[in-house]
Amino acid sequence: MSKKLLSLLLVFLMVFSLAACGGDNTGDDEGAVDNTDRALNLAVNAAFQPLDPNTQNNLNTKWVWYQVYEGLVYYDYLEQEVVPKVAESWNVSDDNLTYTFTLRDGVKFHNGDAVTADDVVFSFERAMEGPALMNHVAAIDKVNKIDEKTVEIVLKNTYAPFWQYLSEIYIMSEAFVTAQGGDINSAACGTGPYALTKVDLAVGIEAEAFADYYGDAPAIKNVVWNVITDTAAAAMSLQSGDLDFLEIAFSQVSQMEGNEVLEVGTKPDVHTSYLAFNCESDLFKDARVRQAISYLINVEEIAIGAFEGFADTDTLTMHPNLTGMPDMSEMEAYQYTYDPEKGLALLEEAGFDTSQEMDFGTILTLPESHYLFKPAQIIQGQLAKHNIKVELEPYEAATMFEKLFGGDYTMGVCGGSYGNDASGYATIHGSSAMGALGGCCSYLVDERLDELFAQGVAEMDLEKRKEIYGEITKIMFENCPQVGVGHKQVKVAWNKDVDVVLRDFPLISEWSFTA
Amino acid sequence: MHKYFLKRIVLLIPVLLAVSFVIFTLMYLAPGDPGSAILGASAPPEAIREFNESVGFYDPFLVRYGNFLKDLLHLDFGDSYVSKEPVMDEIVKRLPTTVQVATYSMLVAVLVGVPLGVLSAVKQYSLADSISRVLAITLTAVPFFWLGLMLIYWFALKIPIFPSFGVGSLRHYVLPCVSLGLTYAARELRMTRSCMLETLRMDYIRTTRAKGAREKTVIWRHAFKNALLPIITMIGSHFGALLGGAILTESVFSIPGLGTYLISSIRGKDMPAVLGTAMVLAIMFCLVMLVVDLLYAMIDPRIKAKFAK
Repeated sequence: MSKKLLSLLLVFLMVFSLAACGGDNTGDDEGAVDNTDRALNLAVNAAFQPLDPNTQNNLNTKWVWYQVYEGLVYYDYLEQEVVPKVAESWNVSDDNLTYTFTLRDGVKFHNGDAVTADDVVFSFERAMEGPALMNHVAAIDKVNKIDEKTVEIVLKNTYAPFWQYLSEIYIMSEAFVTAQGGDINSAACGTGPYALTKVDLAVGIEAEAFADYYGDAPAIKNVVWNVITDTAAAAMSLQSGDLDFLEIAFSQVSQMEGNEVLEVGTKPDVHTSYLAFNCESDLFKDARVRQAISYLINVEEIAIGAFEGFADTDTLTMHPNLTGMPDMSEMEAYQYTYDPEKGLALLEEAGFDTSQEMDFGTILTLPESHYLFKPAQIIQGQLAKHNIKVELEPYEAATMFEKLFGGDYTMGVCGGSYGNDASGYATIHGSSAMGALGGCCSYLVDERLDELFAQGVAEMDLEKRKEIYGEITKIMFENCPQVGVGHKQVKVAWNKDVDVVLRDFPLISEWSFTA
Repeated sequence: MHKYFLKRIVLLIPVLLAVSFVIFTLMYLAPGDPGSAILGASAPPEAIREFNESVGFYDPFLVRYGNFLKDLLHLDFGDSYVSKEPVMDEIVKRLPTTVQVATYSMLVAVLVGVPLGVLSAVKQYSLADSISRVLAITLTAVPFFWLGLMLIYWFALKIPIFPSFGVGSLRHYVLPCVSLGLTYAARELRMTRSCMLETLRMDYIRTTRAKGAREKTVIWRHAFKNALLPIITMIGSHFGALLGGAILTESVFSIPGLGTYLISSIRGKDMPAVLGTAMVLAIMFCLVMLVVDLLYAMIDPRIKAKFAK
């Protein structure tokens, strides 16, 4: 009797769970909603970091800043243009070193105070003190108040990514920050279209449209960011209509595409995953060995195995869409394509006996990050086909960074987005960033590269910049301190009754409910 | 009884000290530093070092542990590295949610598990017994986060009658508490069944039946009351575990309780928050167990008699 019951129950459980794994076409059938009070429900996959923009660069938190704060200008990557925000207009000196901004009339902070030139100077000076905006303020020499409506920014040297970075130096209320004792980790008082109403970093953040916003009032009045760490639960919440927009895992794409009430898209992103070699280690001192490994890696396989096909495949260590990057067609000839013969020949040339098993130590990797761990696993398998034995060395983030940036490794799979400008190259390859956390971990000094990095960031002519970064890319391929293994895409899904504009940090004020 | 009560209270001190030492040591030995976790990988090394120094990260182990104990005596867990708010405030804010989840889940567990356990024992080898046992085994084997996901799928997505995440109304608690409660119900069911079976075989039960007592009286007044002692202990320890052990369920349903706070604090290397939350959970567990022991002493005449001498 119990056996029969047990079998029945097991069959029921199987049906129950298989049905749950299948696609879904159900929608929110609760009827028409009153959009005036409807809140836009968003989800982030981890707790928010402190809200002070000068302390860190957490992506979830940054998304909130983009709604709450504004810079003097906003750099629109989709249109590649500078959009006036707190500043209404500006003048640039002939030598590109002095930028004079005229502040817009009627711009208010969320506490009701009007924005003054003093607030702008205060915001820049505060940004120059904090660690998070190091690159943003690197070229700024001083910020002067000319009069109540005019502010002047003087640069130490010409700086091509100035406009991009300027949009992330947020204008803050001096009075508010001072009243908070400098602690704005759980509060924000910006000039953006949304003002925060509730903050719990571990649970979620709520915001409402700012009534005194100088621009067009946002169509969506209330926004809630919910912290939902379980990706499967978040996906179901999106399908049930409890969430409106969600960044989804690659494995969820087909399921979401099959859902008639959802739309699936790709958010612009400039992420790169790469395999870094420790050029100071005995194994990888010789450039031929690094090049050999690069020829033995098949990035097409990695794109399918690790990113389920949702990745752009090239071996660049910087995203080709960054401002200033050379045209990809010009770089084709220098790319590493899968060529085992060439790879093994280079290894023989470097003194390895390729007929015997070769021990290449370990690959440092981060199991908690799918797009870093899976490529490492695939690379391990690809190298094993050619008698190269490597072990995976998985660590949690803090230890991995400690080893990586302390030079205590042979190979490691890393990744990141280094701003939206090609000058980010220097962050991971420049000798000045060597050994710094998040900086260069390959320990290869090339004076010519350092010179070119300095020229690239200072050159204001885009075509000339492309030439410079083209040369940098060629040298990078030749030196091969790292080899790119793909640029993952960021897949998102949203309810069809929300009209969205996809950006790297979407602006909710551009969105609306359509039903 | 007072002596017993005092003895149990005094015993809490070494237990809590040991817990604090273990948690502190584990956090001390964990790799990484708060500066890198909070300021991010792109922060300059000097800023990270400065941050670590400001929170006493480089102090020797005993100094840090001593400071922690000193603050613990005042129930002051310091300020969170992340939110900069006092950890105690954060805990107080989240504690009611965790207690609610634990209480409702326990209610589900007891209301489902205990009656089914009694039924299963009284009707041993019947269809009802078989169903109960298969149910108990299945629910014990099923992880509660999986059960949670299945419940979301069926009752938030397919038949949208309950919200899939968050708190706010009683409806929000239904799915998490049912998923958690059913898992514990299976354990209560098995425990109740075995205790009842043991009791029902006792001589005094046979005597009661021989004296002509009604079956209902035999089961509930004589058998169930005596079988209750180990069941109460188990329910108590399960309630204690639920207070701190609902981490996965809180995570699946995004419930703003102590579990989610603990997880996010561990990820963010927020040592004061981790230590504070873990200590509060340990204290709560000890207090629940203390209540259980006292209840046990009140119900069990043997303990009452021992300390009455």
